Amino acid sequence: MSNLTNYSDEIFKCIRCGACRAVCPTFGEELDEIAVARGRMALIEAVTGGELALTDAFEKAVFDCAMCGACKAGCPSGVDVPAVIEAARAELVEKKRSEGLIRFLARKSLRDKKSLDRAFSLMALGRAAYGPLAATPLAKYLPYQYEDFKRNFPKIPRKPLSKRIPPVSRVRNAKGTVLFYAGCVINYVYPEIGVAAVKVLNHAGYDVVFAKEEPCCGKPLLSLGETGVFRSVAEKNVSLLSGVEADFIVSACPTCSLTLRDDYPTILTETASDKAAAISAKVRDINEFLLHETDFIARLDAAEMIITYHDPCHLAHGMGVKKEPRELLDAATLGGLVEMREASRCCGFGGSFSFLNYELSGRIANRKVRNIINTGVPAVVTACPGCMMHIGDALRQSGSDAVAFHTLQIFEKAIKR
Amino acid sequence: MGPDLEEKLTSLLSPEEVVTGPEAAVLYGGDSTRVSGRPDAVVRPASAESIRLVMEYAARERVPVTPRGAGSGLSGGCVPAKGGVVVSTERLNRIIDIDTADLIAVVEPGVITASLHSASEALGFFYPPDPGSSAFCTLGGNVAENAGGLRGLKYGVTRDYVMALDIALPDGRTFTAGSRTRKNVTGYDMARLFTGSEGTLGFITKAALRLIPLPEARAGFLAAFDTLEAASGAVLMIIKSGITPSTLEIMDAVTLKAVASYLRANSPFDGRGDGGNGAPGALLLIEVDGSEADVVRQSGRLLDALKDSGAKELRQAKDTAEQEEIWAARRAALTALARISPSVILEDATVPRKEIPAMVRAIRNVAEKYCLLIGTFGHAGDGNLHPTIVTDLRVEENKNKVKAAVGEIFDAALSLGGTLSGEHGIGIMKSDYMERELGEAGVSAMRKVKDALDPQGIMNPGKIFKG
Repeated sequence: MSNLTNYSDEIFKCIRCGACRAVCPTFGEELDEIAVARGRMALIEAVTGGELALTDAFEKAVFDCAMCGACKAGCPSGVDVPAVIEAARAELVEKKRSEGLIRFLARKSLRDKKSLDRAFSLMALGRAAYGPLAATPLAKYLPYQYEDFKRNFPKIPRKPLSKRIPPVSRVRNAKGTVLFYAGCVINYVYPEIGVAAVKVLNHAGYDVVFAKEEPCCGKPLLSLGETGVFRSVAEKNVSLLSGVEADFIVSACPTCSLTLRDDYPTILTETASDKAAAISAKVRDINEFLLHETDFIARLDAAEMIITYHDPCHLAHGMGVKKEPRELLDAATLGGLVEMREASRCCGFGGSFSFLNYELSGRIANRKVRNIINTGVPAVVTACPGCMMHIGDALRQSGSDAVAFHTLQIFEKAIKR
Repeated sequence: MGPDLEEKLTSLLSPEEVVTGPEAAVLYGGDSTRVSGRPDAVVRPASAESIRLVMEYAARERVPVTPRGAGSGLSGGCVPAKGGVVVSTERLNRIIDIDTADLIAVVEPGVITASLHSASEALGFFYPPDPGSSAFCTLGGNVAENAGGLRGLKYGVTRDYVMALDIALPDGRTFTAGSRTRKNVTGYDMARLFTGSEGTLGFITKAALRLIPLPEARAGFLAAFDTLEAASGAVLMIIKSGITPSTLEIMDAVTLKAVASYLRANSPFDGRGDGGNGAPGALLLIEVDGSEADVVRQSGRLLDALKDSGAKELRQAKDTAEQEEIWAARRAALTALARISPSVILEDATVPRKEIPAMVRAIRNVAEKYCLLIGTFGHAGDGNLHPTIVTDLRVEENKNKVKAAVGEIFDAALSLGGTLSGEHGIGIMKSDYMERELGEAGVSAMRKVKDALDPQGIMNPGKIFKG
């Protein structure tokens, strides 16, 4: 699958109309053909056709994509741009042997649960030491030489989600069972969102199962072109998840949902296709689940808030879920939802993208922040822990008092007592 | 020539205005025709002065210059057919002024058309030209190609909104064609000459565009017909009834079927694409605008005309959401067709309005003759149809079939008193057919204009004229 030529039909489908220019977040900043899906497709076609070598500029073009998928969602020809970019990255990893700190760390730490635990406890230490160290002459030895060290990472709590909730949380007269798939960011960085998820799902009448041994879904590896490690992580997930009896698999991280739903069945074709397909059919984003499978909306009180909503890319463009969180949020808040301009434009996070090119990622975030501030609303809600982290960072850097929340934190406030 | 030229241009401009490396030629070599050339250098000027410097240099060294907006054109207009420098305007994207007293917007050439729409509408004013690509195409490109769009019937095309253009001539000198005044008879109408000149006469570095007051109300309608002929007959009835809809779009059975299957639940119509009894169905999508009272009056007449012309089903959008649904279906036409096969050839031959039924028949005959899938939709109100061929051009046989079919579509349009291109331009794609419409004398007259303004032939060579 990593062979780029397998994608030549997909690449040929691009009719070069340029529609992606209107929605591409990196193009919006760079205004350069090298930073838009059409340009990337043209370069990849030139590489597969033998006109262009795997140059450094090519590599940069292919990695400077936030993988938001807005191009695919709006493409007249329906070109699966993210899939082609992933394949091009895999090709670069294989043939150009590109290496870097982020890639190395991702490969080492995301490969299994044990490494993941270790990585995040190291990160917790690092996060605690980072600020003080950055103020000393030792700063130049720190791994991220971000401009003025201004990026705000949330504190990483000592107790991850897996140590905060039981394997099974039951309710009386349960309508069914859902497996809550936390994902790394909720498990290690924002366990409180996971706790809220369990509360909300219980309130909606479902028993909640949580698999403590849950590894990373693997999306960062796939995005970095580490197809081999991705496959092994995906297989671990599939065997773990197929062993759990649940009516639905629900996640509050759209990247995890999208990966489980769409990537596993297309990539694990040889090893676990039936199981991956069965899992895929059960996967729901939590907002989608709450609105369509439960009467949660009728069980909500309105919290005293007025909010605006940011569409996570993998949820809106990847899974087509836009209405659901809005309907729920409108019901869950007294002041209701005020739409911002360009609500479904990327916040700039893009997972590994924000680590590989924080400068560009930050500029994209600033546009989002301007749109948030222009609503005049003090709270921006999103349905993705990654967006929440990135928007929170950008808001703080902008000096705004607005706060970023996950939908679940709002729902938790709005649960009828 | 490549690296040398890059170096020269870098010394002339600031380094970030020059795109270097082997990637540049790939990125800036093509447009939406998927025909591509390879430039020797690419520059992205940050000012009109930089463009002037490039022109001056190009004239001295006889280097071809190809202007480029968003590269979304459908005629190969921005494809560097003879190498040289591609001058891309994407950084020149400032709306310099919106003057609500003179009703003029002054823009740099790289401003996205939709940005001017929203900026002027926020002030209660209206820039009507609305090409299908308005979300990403540029105003400079619109002027150079004299772009049309959905509102041509009532509001005209880009040409009707061009007041003044700042031009960098192919020798590096500059002047302003036209003025900010509605009346201007000072010499030749050079602003009109440069509008639609496809970048072959000079470089548009700034444009003053006319605005009009934003209509206060609008109403949207959808009418279904048994046959495409009936629908195109209804177009004539509507015009004869004395109203001028702001948009009057037609979609044939092939397009309808594609749209219905593409939009599924979100489609405002269903199953109507089959038409029953083997007869093709067709749809008209109509919008009228004006003052509240005027919209009511026009709507009444429109509904009468549609009933009289045998519409099988008639629907008026209840609210803006339903209106939006109708236009979303129209906007999805090209997308839905594009999903069928990897290659899409979007033509724009245009005929006088009353010949639409004949043109529609001619297109269907061509489709049958060459066994090609052709979806026809477009701006029926102004005779500008878009027969859209969906195929796979990687197959050699398809290439030949498409070429022959397109030639016959052109001939049909010309024999009906129409024109090769309503809004996409001639570019590379249609230059072979110019004499069919204009004759030898017509083409030679145009060539004399070209030679007079660009004696060295460095401005966008290989376009409009053969060879």
